[in-house]
Amino acid sequence: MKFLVVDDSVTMRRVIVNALQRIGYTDAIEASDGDEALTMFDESVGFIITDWNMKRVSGLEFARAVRATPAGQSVPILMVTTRGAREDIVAAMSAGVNNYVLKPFTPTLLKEKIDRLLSQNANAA
Amino acid sequence: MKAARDLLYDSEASLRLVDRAIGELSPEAPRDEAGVTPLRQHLEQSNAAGGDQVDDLLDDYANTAAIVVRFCQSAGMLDSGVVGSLRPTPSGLRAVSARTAAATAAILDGVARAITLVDAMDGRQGATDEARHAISASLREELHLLTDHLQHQDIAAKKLDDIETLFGDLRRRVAQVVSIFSPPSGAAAAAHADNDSLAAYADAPSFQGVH
Repeated sequence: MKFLVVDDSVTMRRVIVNALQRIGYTDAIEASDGDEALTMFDESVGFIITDWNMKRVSGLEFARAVRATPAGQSVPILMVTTRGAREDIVAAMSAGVNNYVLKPFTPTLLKEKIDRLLSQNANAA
Repeated sequence: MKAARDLLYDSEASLRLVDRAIGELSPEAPRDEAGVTPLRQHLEQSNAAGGDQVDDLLDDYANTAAIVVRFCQSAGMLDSGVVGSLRPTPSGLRAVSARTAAATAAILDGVARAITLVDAMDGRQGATDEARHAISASLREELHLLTDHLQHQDIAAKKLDDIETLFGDLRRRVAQVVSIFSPPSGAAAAAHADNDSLAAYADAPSFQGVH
């Protein structure tokens, strides 16, 4: 499965890709913001992990844009963020984000979230 | 427009005059045999003598009203929302500092454990493959954990971005307040830009009697 990792921090992109490799996902492409990610997104992407606060196009705007495309209707979107307030979570879900992980996270937690979303997607299909 | 400091000083005297004038306009105010209050009598005598007490009073009243208008404007710019958003800033900075320190300590601990594992590998040159694999797996895990701790760099950067945004907003609002109380010299027209606001205050029932 191909992952699209979207974060304006090079450090975080490397941390996330590293964590993905540790839990068995080795196919990942990276984008530095929502704008770039939109140009990279297509039907070959099976899972999106995105940050919230990014220059230019934010994670929320990116999620909305993905959901507006035919290929983005059902792709799981996991948000990795420092924003854990209730209203933030509601806003993220409203934008089309399926679940979120608060920083700092462990690969184990990331795996749990990914597995749960993939399972939900499989059941819905 | 007077300097802000002078305006504040004069305003106190103006307020006392206005308060006295309002008091003397009330039905209960003491009057002389002809029904004239001492203030009115004083003003009439002053005007007759070529004084300009009434004009001074009205000027000071206008200045006082201008101060009130500016206080009202500044209160809106430094509203409770801004003050409230500043409150968690010190604790947020302390949290960033503490987390960075904790992450640094964890990285140093991980490096120390990794070095110990490398030493162990050196000491087991003749060990079985299974034993060597166990050590290398532990070493790999330690190195991965080091990268996990680097998330704190991004967390700190995000928090600092938030604080930068907050201070930018605060600086803009403070600049607006400063500009209200200290309009640039030569900008007399700007000083009269609030004529509508002044008129509104001047028309207020509490002050109408003074005119």
